[in-house]
Amino acid sequence: MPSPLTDLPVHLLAEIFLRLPDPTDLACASAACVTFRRLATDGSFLRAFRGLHAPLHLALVNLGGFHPALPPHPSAPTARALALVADFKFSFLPSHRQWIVWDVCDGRVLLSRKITEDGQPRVFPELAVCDPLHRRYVLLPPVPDDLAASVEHRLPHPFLAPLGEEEEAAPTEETAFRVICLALGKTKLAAFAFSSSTGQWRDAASKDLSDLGLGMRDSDMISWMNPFYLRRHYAYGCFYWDFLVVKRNLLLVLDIRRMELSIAEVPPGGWYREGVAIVEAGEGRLGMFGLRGEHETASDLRYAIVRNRESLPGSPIEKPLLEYFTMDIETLQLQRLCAKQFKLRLPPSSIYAYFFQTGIYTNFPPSLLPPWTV
Amino acid sequence: MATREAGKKMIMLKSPDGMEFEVEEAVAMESQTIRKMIEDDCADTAILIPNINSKILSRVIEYCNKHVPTTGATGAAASDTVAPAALAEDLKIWDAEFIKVNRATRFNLIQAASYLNIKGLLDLTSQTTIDTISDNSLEEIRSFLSTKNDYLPEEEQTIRRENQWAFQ
Repeated sequence: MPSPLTDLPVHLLAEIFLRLPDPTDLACASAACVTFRRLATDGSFLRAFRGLHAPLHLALVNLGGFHPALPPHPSAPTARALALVADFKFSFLPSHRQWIVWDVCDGRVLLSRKITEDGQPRVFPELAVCDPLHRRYVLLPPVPDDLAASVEHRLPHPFLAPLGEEEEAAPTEETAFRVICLALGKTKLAAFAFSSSTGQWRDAASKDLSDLGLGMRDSDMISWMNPFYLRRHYAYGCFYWDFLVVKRNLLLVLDIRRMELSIAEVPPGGWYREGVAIVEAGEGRLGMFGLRGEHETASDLRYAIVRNRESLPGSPIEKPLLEYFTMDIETLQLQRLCAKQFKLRLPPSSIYAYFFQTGIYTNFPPSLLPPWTV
Repeated sequence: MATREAGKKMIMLKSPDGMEFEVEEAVAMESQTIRKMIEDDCADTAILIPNINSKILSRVIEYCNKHVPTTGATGAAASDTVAPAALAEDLKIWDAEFIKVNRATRFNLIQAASYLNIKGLLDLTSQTTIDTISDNSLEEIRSFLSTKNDYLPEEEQTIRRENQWAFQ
């Protein structure tokens, strides 16, 4: 009788199973016998496993709802399993039809609504963070008056920020999250941050516009900016906004580890205003995708996204088909994630909304996740 | 230490079945566990390695012998003269040959690598085991890992249903 693997002490079995390349393999192995199953459902093992593996691209979440990865994408079976158990209509939220999705991060979804429970308008939208898989949510308190009074204009697009290293280090804190909201004062730019561990908003970073090298015209532009253009990119602990690329070839940067605002220059050239994306290029280097020139004549990235693009920009598009791809930064290989066929004519502004307000839901298969995350 | 100047310092490793292995200190120190014993000066004469029989211990020593960074007379690492890529390639081929052992031996090597804290060997043995799991059917996994299906039939059905996505 050969010595079975189950004879190994559990810590060694864990050591081996942590090396399984893919969550799918772990799920398969866990079905082999009770010992493996016990290990593959153990909270601290799963935490370590998630720490060593990249989550799967499972779905897109946007104004149009939830779009699971479709075959032949390798995540399609998992996405289907997710769709069966998760509630991406957010019916567990109070008055759930009032809420709009703003951001998706680490399996959590940030939503907002502009009216109160009884239908009254709000000056500032109410925010909620929820876990659609476990149907749980947290309503965020409003930004306190003293903070709100220190700025004139709160920019739309609140967002979820990955946790800092010190927060991540605490293994019990699987329910910790951060929400950040940028705001513009007469002379300063600020980032308000809500932390689930304190349950409070604070002025996490603020800087005088002059210290950032920005003038009145820049701040006017920020406040007039169509929210769809306030696009945010994340790479290596920093968020980047590219709206200043239009006129100034600058990026606004928020380092969320040090909570510091700054300005970075993009490589010289006439970058098309709808076209830069900041990405992690490996080994700590930043990568930037962009379109040059006035017209999107040679736009590799966007070609891949819109099939019937010849009518963009301009008049409404007849029954557009939007296809979403992920791109591997190293190999530049595209992989089709999902597609949405519209049955209506869609004005360009709505198409932009579908581009820019689309969050990618990356996560582990439901069986490898903690019981809840908010 | 006194003997270092005279040449290579040797260490005696003893297995519980009474075999003794004389190895260079540098080779023994591929094991972080032994390294710590030596550095803490708890290893004057011979070190007893519990739970690892002579057959497995000799394989472990063989692995460490191959993987110890060799030093020339000047103390310069051999990798200075041999291209590192070629060296790594050579080691990879050697490793692949080394790990062609039966399952029982491999599992014993895993335990030994873990106890002696030899990262490279633990990586190699674990990875080889993992390779038998990836992309194989449940029955193949069970057979490769020589585990028995100890689920009750209804339990197995539930688990298969829960993890259906993984079997597609």
